[in-house]
Amino acid sequence: MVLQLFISLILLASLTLLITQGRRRRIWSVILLGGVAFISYLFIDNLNQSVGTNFIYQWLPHNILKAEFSISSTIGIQQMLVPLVLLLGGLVYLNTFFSDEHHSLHLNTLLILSLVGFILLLSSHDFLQLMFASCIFSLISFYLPDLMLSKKSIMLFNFLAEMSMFMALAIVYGKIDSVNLVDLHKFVNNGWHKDLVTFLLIFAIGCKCGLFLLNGHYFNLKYVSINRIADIIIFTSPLSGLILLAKLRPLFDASEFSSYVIPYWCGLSIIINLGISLFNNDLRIKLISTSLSLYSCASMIIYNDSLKLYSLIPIVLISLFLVILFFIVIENSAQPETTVFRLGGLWRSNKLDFSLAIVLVISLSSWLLQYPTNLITKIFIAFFIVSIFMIVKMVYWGTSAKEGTANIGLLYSLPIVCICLFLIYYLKSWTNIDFYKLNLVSLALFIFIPHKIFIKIGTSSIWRNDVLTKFYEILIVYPLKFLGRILWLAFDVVVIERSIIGSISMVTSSIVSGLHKLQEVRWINFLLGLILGLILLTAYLGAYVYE
Amino acid sequence: MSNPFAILSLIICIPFFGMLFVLTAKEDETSPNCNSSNVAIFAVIANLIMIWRVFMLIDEKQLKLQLFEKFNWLEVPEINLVFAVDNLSLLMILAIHLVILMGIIFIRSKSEPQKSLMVFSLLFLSMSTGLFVAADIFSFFIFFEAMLLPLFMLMGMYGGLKKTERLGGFFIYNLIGVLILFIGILLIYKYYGSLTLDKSSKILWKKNYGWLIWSCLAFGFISRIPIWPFHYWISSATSKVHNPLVFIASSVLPLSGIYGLLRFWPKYIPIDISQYFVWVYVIGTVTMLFISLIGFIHRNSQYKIFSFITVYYVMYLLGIFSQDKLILLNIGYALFSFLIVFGALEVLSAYIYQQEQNINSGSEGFLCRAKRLSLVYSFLTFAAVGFPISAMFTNNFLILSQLLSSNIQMGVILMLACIIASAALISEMFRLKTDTKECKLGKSEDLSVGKFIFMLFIVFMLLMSFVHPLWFVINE
Repeated sequence: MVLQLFISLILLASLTLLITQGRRRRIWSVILLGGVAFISYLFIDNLNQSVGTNFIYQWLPHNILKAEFSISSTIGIQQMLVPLVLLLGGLVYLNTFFSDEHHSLHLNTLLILSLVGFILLLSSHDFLQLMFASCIFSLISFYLPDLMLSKKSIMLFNFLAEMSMFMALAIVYGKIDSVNLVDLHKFVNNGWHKDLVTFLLIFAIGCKCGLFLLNGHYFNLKYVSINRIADIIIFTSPLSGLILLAKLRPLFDASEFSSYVIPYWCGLSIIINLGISLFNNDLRIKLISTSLSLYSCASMIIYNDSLKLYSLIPIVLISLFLVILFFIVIENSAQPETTVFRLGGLWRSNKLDFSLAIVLVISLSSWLLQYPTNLITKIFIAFFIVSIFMIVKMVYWGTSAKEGTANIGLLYSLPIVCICLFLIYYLKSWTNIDFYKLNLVSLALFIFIPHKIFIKIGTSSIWRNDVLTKFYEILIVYPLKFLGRILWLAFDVVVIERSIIGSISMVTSSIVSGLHKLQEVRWINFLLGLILGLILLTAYLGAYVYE
Repeated sequence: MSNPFAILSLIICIPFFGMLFVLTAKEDETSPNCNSSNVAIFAVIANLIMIWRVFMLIDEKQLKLQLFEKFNWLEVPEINLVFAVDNLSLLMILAIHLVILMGIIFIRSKSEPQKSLMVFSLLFLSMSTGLFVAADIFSFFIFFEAMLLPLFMLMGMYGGLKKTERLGGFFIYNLIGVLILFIGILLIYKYYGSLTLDKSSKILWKKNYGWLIWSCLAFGFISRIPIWPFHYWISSATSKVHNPLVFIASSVLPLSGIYGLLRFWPKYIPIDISQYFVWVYVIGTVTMLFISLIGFIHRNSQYKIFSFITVYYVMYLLGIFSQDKLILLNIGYALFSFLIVFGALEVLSAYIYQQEQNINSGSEGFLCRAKRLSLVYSFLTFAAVGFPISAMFTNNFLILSQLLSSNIQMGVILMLACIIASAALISEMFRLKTDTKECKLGKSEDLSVGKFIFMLFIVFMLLMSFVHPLWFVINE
């Protein structure tokens, strides 16, 4: 069934690429939404029909490199594809109805291709399909933002991630002479340069998942629309990073330092991202950092047990979708303002949005809590929900700086409410003690903690400076440019142009002028020629006599 | 396999005859330069059809030379000229024809005189074809040197400013390389006779000045490759040229050095010789890093493309020195898509430069209104940087894997150089896509439909090369 889904999605994407953007773009988007819904229904309806079947095409059957193109229909993959397919429908719905996009059809096509990429990535059994699928997300991440600044940074980091992974897998292949993922343990046992391979893979995963210090490209997405942010955050590189981490997990055991670096790095990323989500004044930054904190937590869980990928992905996806809905509601209330310290008290003019936001947060907490967790994850969930509650307080409480905009509308609110109520009822969260504890504590903090502390810290200059970009520019870009300039001046100009070429031309011109002078009719030139001839003759005779 | 129709001689002669037809082509007032361009395009397409025919005649499962043609050149001394092909040489010939065709199509509409450009381009194409078809040492040497003449003329006519200095460097470096290679060829003839290329392994290391022969051959070939200190003449000759056809021709020249090394590479190298290869590795990696850094800081898009070409040529050179037979084969296959990618990038860059001159504005933001051009340019840039959309991805994976296995420090620096050169291309693409007032004013001129369709064909070829990257490797 996965193969049929794969082919259907490719056909649908191809058809939409043929349609040009025009006045009827919304109609085409609705038709596309219908197509996605139909395909999703067929897939979910026939879910258990072809479990365990694999479609395999011998792409490269040569001894020099054996690689296959495969699409698998295991239970785990189907388990992951169900929320992905539903989420595709949800994002297409948001792009069609919740945005003022002129290119919604284009966006939706990219999302469909993204799902195709996820099918390839999940089904990959070898390096080549893995890297091919990973590059699909890099290319989609390039086309999704519509501003050059965002495109540049996201492309750069994705490119560096792909190159790191490429290099690491090239080293692995050089040792084990196989591209199959099942043979990775051979490298762990007998490999070489294990630290380098692990370092490269950690770097690649860090770029993809947006871990601390490697997340600057995601924060540059604040300049694009919230729909595009949602599409990138939920449906492209960050999620692919989690899957890559699970697929390449055995390689991380090759080196000892990964067991120290990764958990602490993920933990640090969680803390910092949650901090940014609390303290930064920009709504879009809050959205991005909130999402990245979830990915950091997911990375830590998958690192500890890669098999949890299959159960974790649906939780992460639905949580992110609820977060996106939450921020769409917030942004609708706040627009056109995106800076939090200029907001406040909007609950009076946006009662429906305020209620929606509260309902969304409660359903988010119930969704997150239904996953059996350890203490650290529970603490993370608690802080996560609290930070979301704080955002509600910052936007809706206090006194307003301006009049609020219109509510989100009953037509669009109703589906959201239905989703939330369905989740809370389906998960039976009201029977869970933790659910009550968490929401009561958050509500208490909501009421008693003054949110203005966060706003005040958020207005300090550190948040206005793009520290990471400057860090990379000072540490990497400027030294490279300086080194390039020095090498060009020192070697090309001084050594080669002036020394070697200059000396050769000087010697040549000296010889030519010498020969030219010999041609002049002067008695001394005849004498010089005579002497040269005598020297040559003497040398020849001497050599002859010597032999 | 027998070759009754001398088809290999035919594919050398067709561009040559095309050149003669171009010389006699009449230019009229209504469409200047179209006749010569049309004749040149026709000649190249005709030769492409013949090359396709040759592909059908050879057995692609065989790795050895086939379709031998032998001509008695001299009786005393006895010298025969032998032509033959295999998969590798045919792929090289095909790639060169495609890039030259691209260059001709893209400069077709230019108003400046083009007859001489077409004449020497076709002559260059003919001589290059002869090089890849040559199967004995003398024919190889003849075509190895003969391809310099049309290139010299092209650079002399279209080399831009300071071409005199560059021609001087071009002449000196190639003269030295030619002389040393000639010494090697003469020594081979003296001790082994008129040897065919598939028997070059007969040249022994320790007898008959074998070490001198191999050194001369290596020096002669490496002098064509942009490795330090030979990179200088190539960079100064190539990077300032804005005519795409001349740039392509001068960038194809290092290919002759790589090809020579691939053909003559000995089956066995003594350990006391191979221990000196580390110097080649050191110089090669430093050159790569050096050129990639300069390309990164340089604002000229031409130099960025040149640095990309140089980095990959040196990488392939280092791959040859890794002495792995399958890697040697892979380098040959990688060169096919590499040539097409850089040729296509160059013609598009030259097109943008030309438009920049025509509308008298900067090229920043040029692509934001030229949708067709933007699509093709983006695809080619992604293919060039190594994304899995062309055969460069799989072939480079194998080559880099081997290089990283043989020497990790060299491999890491090599990867770093590749990344920097790729970053230079990506930054250039972003500069062209930046939103600027030119974008909003609609000053950019997009590709014509015909050129766009042609470029889509090139894109399709590259995608097909990814789907089927190791086309003719036998199943051992």
